[in-house]
Amino acid sequence: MKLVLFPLLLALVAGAPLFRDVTAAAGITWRHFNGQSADRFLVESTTGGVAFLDYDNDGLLDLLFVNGGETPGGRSPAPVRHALYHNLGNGRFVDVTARAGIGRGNSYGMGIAAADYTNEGHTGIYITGYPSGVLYYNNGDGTFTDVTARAGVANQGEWGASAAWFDYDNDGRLDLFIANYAEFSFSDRRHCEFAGKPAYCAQTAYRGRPSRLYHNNGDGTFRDVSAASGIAALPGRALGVTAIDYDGDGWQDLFVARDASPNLLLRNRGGVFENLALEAEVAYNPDGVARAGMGVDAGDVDGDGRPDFAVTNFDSEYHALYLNTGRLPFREATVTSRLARYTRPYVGWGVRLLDFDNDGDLDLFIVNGHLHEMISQSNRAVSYREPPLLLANDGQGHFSRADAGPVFQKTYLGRGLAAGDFDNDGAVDVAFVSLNEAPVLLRNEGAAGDRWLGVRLRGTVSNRDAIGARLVLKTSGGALTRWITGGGSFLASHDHRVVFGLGRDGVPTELEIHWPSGTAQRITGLAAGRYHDITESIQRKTP
Amino acid sequence: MKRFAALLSAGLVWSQTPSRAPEPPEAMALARRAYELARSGNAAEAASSLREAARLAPRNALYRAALGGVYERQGKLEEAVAAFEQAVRLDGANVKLREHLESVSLDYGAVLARERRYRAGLALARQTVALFSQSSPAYLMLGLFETRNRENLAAVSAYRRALELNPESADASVGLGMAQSSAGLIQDAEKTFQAGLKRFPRDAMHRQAYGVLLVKMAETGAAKRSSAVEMLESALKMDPSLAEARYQLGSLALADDDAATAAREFALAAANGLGDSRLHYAYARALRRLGKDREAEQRLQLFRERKKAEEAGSSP
Repeated sequence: MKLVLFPLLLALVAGAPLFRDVTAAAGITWRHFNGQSADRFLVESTTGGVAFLDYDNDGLLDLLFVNGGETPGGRSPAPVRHALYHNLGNGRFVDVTARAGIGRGNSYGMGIAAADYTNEGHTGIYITGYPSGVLYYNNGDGTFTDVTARAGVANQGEWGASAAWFDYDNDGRLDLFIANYAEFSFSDRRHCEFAGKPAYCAQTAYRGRPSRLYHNNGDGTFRDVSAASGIAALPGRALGVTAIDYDGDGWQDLFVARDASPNLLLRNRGGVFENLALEAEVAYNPDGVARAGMGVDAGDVDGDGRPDFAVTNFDSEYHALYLNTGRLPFREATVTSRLARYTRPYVGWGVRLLDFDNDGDLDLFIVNGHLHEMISQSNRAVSYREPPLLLANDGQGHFSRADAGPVFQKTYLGRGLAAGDFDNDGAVDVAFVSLNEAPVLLRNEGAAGDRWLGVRLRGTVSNRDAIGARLVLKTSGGALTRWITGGGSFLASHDHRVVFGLGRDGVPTELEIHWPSGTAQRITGLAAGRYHDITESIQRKTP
Repeated sequence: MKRFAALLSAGLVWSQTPSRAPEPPEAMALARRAYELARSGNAAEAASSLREAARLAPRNALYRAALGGVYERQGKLEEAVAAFEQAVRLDGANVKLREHLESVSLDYGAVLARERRYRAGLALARQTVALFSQSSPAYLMLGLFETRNRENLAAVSAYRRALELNPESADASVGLGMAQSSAGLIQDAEKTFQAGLKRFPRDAMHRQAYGVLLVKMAETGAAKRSSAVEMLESALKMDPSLAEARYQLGSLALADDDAATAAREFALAAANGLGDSRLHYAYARALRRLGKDREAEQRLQLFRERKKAEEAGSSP
């Protein structure tokens, strides 16, 4: 909110929402179902994935929602299903789930990672869940085929949460990381109470599991490289993941948010990961306590050109902000950024760093929601249903709460949160899932105008979605650094395009693209107020 | 064995034991044998004899009380509580027995708290409060375990009751303020601490606890950080050995990148008995910033060990 843009001021003065709930108007009628019963299986509390993806390459972002499922004691009167909504381009979406062949499967659904993992020009979908995940190959005709078995990415027996597509070995193909949570079984009933009522047992009652990394062989199959890469040696209750080259060494690293297990900062050393979370001081809070990490996102919060990390946590723990100083340790700015002030009562899940008002700095969108219905009988400052948060950045990494419309006065059991510009107006929109009710699609109306520049990258040597690319836009006002990350938020997949907010006066002069392949490309003369398709300038090598 | 001897030989309890129904002479013989065994240090055999005596004379409170005393001597506090409780049930009017039960229950509660067995502690505390409804220490114990079991509002009630029963209990006042803080009743907590400062002006623990609350409030912009520092420093003026106040001041210094001050405070906290995982972690961070990598690594190792022990100790 560095420049306090006119649209933002206008919206505030006029009382117009910065984000408008358009769920019903868009024709989205799907509802989430988690099968909650008196048994209180913990898996019920961590479901609800969402993705923005353009599955049919029509230039319009579509929406995919992932449902939970039935449990032994929690039956649904209607079939529990995921939902793929096709964007018609007129503000409305149509449910194409059945036609697309997105089945419910036999798993209890969790999250989504969507990307062009075949480099064929079509977005594939991986849906995480318990006790396995599903990989859908995009046939290129609006339909999908379940190729899990052939691909070898079932993640069998695991409770997979968030997942990320990223190229960990720089071979130009997207590999798959799955954040696995804990040992679990529906036959293992654990009865816990909170304030005299059935409640979810503490996460620490469930032994954490190692996450999993699948290497993309390039022929439609994958190889489990969890052990070889070092991932398998790091068990813990993982929920969120984002892939980004945090140290600029050309290898994609991972930040894994874990629930009452120390977070992981996995530095990629040529395909083998080294956990530097302790050295980086992102594993624990300042008291050496592992917070309940749920979601995580990366971006340059303080404008220094380095990626920082925001992590959502449990109530009274604060959602955390770790600033990347270019060396270890990171600097925890949870208090100084005012995140502590705004997030103390909330259990956070989905989190996305996005420039909602296109003023040139990254703001924070967070969805919250507690696990315990009776929580206010233990803590008067905390409630079961909680509001989403829009926190505006002053450009220096200090946040203030934006009164962004009625949605932010309402309360939800927020879980997965995805960001994407579904109406192509340069204002990044948001969708999130709330347990056992309709999802919420929010159109961003706080960034009207043409003070933005959008980029869609197409890798040739690099993976086609250019996940892992670093983009630096030089403008008359300075430089903006953004990344196309893998994963991010919680159970979510996002628009892979990058939108630069130009602020009131910013004029783009040059765009620098640092492709995952290691090559750099410089482009000038890009006009504001529109998206630009840019293809990696080096052609794919002939095998 | 003092308690056992007092119970068995002084005849105090014996003379007050009601409903002296006829009992087999073997029971008395076993009890006498138990007394001799206990005197010679054979607690296990003494307990065995007393169990048999209690079986033969099920309405004799003395045998059960004596058995409780032997268990206590053996460090079997759970069994001791159960035995004394049975004795009290048989002779509810016996003041000494009740005092013994209350005392051993509180001792056992302290053990459970040390061992982080919070659910067992809560059950014990509820049982103790039910038997000793006018006992401020019993309500203190209840408040402690309710807090540890996240029953914060119930803990507020328990500490409030403890304070009502003993308005001179600084512990109850501190506990109430801390429970209110955990229950999200921050303004109430502030009022409690401020009242406590007036009522117990020389009580350093009040200042320390209030200082901790002010630190948390300052993190969310609800208090000035300088107020927190002043409160903690005033606590240390009264009692320089307050390890928690040292830790908090060290943490504030570390957040300000003043690693030298932080390390100094952490060293003092450690010297004054603070040895939990958070101290080792924070201390390691400070040492690393001072370039003392080797010492930092040693502290990190202590952190890992302590963390593991703390997590292993968190049983029900």
